[in-house]
Amino acid sequence: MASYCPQIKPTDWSEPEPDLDWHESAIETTSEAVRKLMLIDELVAKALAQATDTQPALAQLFHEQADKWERETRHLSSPNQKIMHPSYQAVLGMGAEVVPLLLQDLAQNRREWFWALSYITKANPIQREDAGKMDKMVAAWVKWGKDRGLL
Amino acid sequence: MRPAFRPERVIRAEIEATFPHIVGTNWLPKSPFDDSYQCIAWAASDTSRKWWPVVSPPECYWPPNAPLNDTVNSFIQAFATLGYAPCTDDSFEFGYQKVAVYATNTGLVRHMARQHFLGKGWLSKPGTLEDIRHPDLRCIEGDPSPTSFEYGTVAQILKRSWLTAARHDLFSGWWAAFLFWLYRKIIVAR
Repeated sequence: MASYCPQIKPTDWSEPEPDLDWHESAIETTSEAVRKLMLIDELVAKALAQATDTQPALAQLFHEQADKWERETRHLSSPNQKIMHPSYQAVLGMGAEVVPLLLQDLAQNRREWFWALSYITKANPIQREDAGKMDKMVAAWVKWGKDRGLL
Repeated sequence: MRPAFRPERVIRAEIEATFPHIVGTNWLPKSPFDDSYQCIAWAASDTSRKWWPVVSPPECYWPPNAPLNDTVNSFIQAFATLGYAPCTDDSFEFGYQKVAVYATNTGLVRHMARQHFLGKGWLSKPGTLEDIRHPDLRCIEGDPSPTSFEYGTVAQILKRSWLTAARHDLFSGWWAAFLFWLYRKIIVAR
């Protein structure tokens, strides 16, 4: 009988050899990913450690300058003269990171950081009718800080 | 801040370190330590808020229509709203109340003092420190350079009649002075 289907002998059939490469490449990819993740972890840990080191350093520097500024300008009444003091300028130079410290100091010690806060944050929560009234001006900035989670 | 009463020796040490010309004069502390007003406000007999021509942020009160700059002219116009007019003599004149404006040699105002109503010296509120009564205006003068952190020298005297003072802030100033005196008698004497 003519057959259109050639008879397959058991010796004709063979399973393809398992491709081991995929396994090895998968292992390689996984280890690369793990290595990258570990690297990221390491970098994050380093950054966190650096941040933890920087914050106390910034706080210490801020309090040193704030104390000096208060000591040397508290006999002055002119806000324009007070902000020209080198310590005030040093605090301004600390940038946006110092805002929580300014708010905290304003709330606790009532040192007048109004101009610095406005300059750095571009905000101005003091109502015109409260101009010059310390209690109300401090309360306005404290509320502003709390609303933004900075205090 | 609630007014704080510091021991007199502490007040004396700080004031005399700040104003070298005051040493040896019979100056007196007259109020508690208080950050709710300063020299310009005290010259205007206002103990409720700070006065200064600040454009922004609004951290000080300034009379409407007075110029918002640190020049002597701005302060003359602000105090004109309380009835003061420029004069040249800082001596006591019966029937008149006077204030003095301290400024740098470039004309930037640094401080103001008010003459005692009966001419017993001058009253100053140095920043947040205690009000003081000093015998003359020179006691608190200092470096007139605009970069210094002192008061400079007297640049202008202003005066008004007692009648004008009575129409404006005379009694609020007296009331504040009476309260300070009372507090000192009761609290500091303890």
